[in-house]
Amino acid sequence: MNNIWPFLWQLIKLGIGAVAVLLFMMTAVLYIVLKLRWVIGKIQSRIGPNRTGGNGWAQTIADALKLFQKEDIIPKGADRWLFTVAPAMVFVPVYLVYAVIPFGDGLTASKMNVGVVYLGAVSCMAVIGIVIGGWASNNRWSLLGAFRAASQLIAYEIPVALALCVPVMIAGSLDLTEIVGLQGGGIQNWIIFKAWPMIPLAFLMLFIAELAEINVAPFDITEAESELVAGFNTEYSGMKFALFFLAEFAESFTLAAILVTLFFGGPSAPLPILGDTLTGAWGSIVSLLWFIFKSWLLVLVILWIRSTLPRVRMDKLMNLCWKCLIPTGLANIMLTALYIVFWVNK
Amino acid sequence: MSGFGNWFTSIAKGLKLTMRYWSPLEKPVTEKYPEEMPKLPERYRGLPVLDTKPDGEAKCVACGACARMCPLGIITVVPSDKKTAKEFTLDASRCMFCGMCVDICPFKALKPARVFELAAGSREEMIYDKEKLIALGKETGERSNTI
Repeated sequence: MNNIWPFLWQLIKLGIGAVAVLLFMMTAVLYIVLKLRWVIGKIQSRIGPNRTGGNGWAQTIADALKLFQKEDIIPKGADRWLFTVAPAMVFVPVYLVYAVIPFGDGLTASKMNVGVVYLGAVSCMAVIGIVIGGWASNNRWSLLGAFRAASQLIAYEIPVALALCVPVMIAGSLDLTEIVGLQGGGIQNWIIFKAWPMIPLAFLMLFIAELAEINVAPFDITEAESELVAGFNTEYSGMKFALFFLAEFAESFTLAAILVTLFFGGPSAPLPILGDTLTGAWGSIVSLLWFIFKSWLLVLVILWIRSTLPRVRMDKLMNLCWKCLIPTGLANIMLTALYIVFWVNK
Repeated sequence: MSGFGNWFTSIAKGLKLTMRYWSPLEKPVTEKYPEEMPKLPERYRGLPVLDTKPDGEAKCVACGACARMCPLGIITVVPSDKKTAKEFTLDASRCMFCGMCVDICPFKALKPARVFELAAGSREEMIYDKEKLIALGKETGERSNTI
């Protein structure tokens, strides 16, 4: 009975952390969606949302509220139980990824010594939810979307894993906090500037493969609107659709966060003077701001690509994965290994 | 395999193009019409309206050429005894903006208006008299007030 209080306190702390991460995720998603619409508007020489809340800032909040009050429709022929479970199956892995991302000094929800493996393992669980959702909808578009998701996402797991290996080999650790720690103390320590050309190649590969993994254009063939209505989420509406939507855009931020963590020094400042010298609460806040800033730049790049490139055809997508990314990834790992053996540990 | 080189160059080209549109220097082509007036072209061809002399009187000498020229017969000119139009009406609801009255006028007393907001609640309101046509002729096509 004596040791229940520390345990309870631990639970409360975990709960607060979970809610904080969830809130952060929601805000990030709402703003990313809004920014996406602004960016696409600008690139298409339009204005984009400019009515709600004066200059359009409240547009996605209004959209979210609209989705929440919509009728929750389950089609007659659908498998009710699987249909209901699928959005959660997609959302939860995306949420779980945030547990290991080091947002700043002492702002990692869970320090894990196999963080990178966890990242790869958890983020590929979302495909199960997509396949279940497509199957349970009892709709041919959904099913086709689910089939495509199965072939695309599972194929792209391999280049993601291969590309993840390279920075891990260079850093010599699977722990994300440790990888970030190695990159502290200025821009010259960031992993992206080490071991040319293996690391930049790995970065490019990881970026392309993760774009396919998180289903954004030009690789959004699982929900290709011009062919499949909306792909696996054709039959979804209201809250369930909102969960899919939330997961999709949260993944954009996750991708940026992973890339920043592995290649761009995570929460450390580009110059030590700009915040690495701070400690305590201020250190945490400044490093968090740096992390968000760097991730935001990468999110902008994702939005830029998303609003530029047309959708890739299914077979071309598979060609890119199996004939280009996987051989390159294997060769890259070999080169990195040789580099480490003959150059670093000579 | 041969296609991958092309992929990257064409992707780079596309990204470069969209980056140009994304830059803050580029203005969107969208016109925010009710909030901001669109900029009318210099030779905008609107409804034919009456031009005025410097003293504010209409240039019209009531020769009636426009009324005879009008394919729809929507212009009526009633001359006064001093070579000015006593009455000049134009049914804007039927005008097709052909501009033949403007072309035929020997004294350049008619000109295309720089106005396009001509909506009205009834057909009778759309029949413009001399005062209304002179007032429309003084419009510059710019509006400072916003909705």
